Amino acid sequence: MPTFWKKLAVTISAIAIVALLLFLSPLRDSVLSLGGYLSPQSPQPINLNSGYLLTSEVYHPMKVRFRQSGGFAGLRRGCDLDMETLPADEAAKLRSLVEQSGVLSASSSQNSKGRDLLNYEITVETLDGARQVTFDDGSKPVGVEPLLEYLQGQAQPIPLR
Amino acid sequence: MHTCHHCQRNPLHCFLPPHVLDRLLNADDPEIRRAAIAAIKQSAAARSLRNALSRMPAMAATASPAGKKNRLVYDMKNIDLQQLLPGTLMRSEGQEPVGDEAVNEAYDYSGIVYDFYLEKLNRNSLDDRGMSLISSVHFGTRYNNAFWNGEQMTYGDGDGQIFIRFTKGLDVVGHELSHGVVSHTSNLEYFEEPGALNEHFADALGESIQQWHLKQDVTQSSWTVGEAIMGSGVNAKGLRTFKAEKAYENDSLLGTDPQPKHLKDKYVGFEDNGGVHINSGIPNYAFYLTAMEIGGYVWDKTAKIWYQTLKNLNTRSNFQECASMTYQVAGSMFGSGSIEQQAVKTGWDAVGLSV
Ligand SMILES: [Zn+2]
Repeated sequence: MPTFWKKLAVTISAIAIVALLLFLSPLRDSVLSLGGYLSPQSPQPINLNSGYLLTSEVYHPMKVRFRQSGGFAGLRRGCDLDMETLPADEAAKLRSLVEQSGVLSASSSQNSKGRDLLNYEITVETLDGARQVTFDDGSKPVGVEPLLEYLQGQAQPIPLR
Repeated sequence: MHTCHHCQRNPLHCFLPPHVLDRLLNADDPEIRRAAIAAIKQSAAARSLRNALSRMPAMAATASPAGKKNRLVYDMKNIDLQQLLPGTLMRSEGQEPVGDEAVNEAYDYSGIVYDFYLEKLNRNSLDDRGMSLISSVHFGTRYNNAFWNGEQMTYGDGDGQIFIRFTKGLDVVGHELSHGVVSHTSNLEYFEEPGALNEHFADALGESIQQWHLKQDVTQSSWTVGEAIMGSGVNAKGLRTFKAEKAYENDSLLGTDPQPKHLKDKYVGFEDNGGVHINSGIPNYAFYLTAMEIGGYVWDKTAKIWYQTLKNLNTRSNFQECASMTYQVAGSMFGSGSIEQQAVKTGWDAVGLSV
């Protein structure tokens, strides 16, 4: 029993110290964002303008995976972009498009009446985790267009298997 | 603060009232239209925009005045906002052709589709109550798609490379309108096997309509979907083929035709609503084989069996239920053990479904 209480006390102090440090640290916003990644239903939108998570001043790698399917043609297209391997200006452009698109806080949605609508899946992976959003031409999140157009421009046919 | 932030990025939407945006959307200068579209897209109000714009007719008003053929063709003028469908009315029933071939194709082909359903399947329009056939053309810029939004058809112009304008294919128009027929009959849910059947019926009826219009018997048809809309940058027989072959292979823009022709090759992933445009290849092939076995004109027997089956199925019907239903329908239409019923069995056997 004493071991148990000792462990509990140590754990609580550790949590308190970490929480205090994080509250004071410049990483605060990105850690708060993590909550958004872990629970997509979270009513708290992620602060995309935090400056810590997404600007290039502090180096944070980001990967973007794009998949398009369906439509009358049923073509499967997509691209996998890694900011570490992209030229600096392309990486900055993509980062800014992701930042402005709202995909990190958008919830997935589907138009139930439409047929042959194009389906999209965008996955953004950062150090904080991966965030995936799916939608279609009848349920696009507001503001996603510029990012979507960019990704469609990069997309290539993707084989099924 | 929030509003201010939006104003900085999208100055247009912050101070333009809807009727001014409406005028900009109808401007002759494409640059002005593009700017107006961009403004609306960034606007959080985009979802409720349709209500705000007075020129938009009520979508519910799809009943035809006389309960018979009533075509209305609209122009979206390159706007790609579904909230703004149908757009500007360009040609209505009985009016002379206009100077825009996409408008005229949508008008002519939806008329052929209407005639086919009435003359061959005894169906008065999509709802069998003479509902109006509404089409919108020039949706978006270089938009590589056509879709049914639950109430009307919508066609893009294509980018020229992969596709050209989607109104150019009668099988495309027949496919989109047949989605309307499906939603007014079995209303197969758009997911996994029922969704692939939804796609299959749209393809099979669209193909039947094209063969009827071209007066082709089953041996004369190429049995491809979308050959008329393929762009100059691709090498393909079409978008899909009913036969046991690939419509395209290792094409730099299209990739390789993913459609399976047998149940054992069914796609089980999540994309495309569980592969609705992929797995339709399985019933499509069974339909083709049945039609070839029966011979003659597809609309005389095979399409009739399939249409009756569509009316008998329900939202959750799967491949097996569809196969069994076609067999049952063929039996009651042509007799138990008839050549037609045997042909249906042969078709489904080949794709791994026994009836
Ligand atoms: Zn379809």
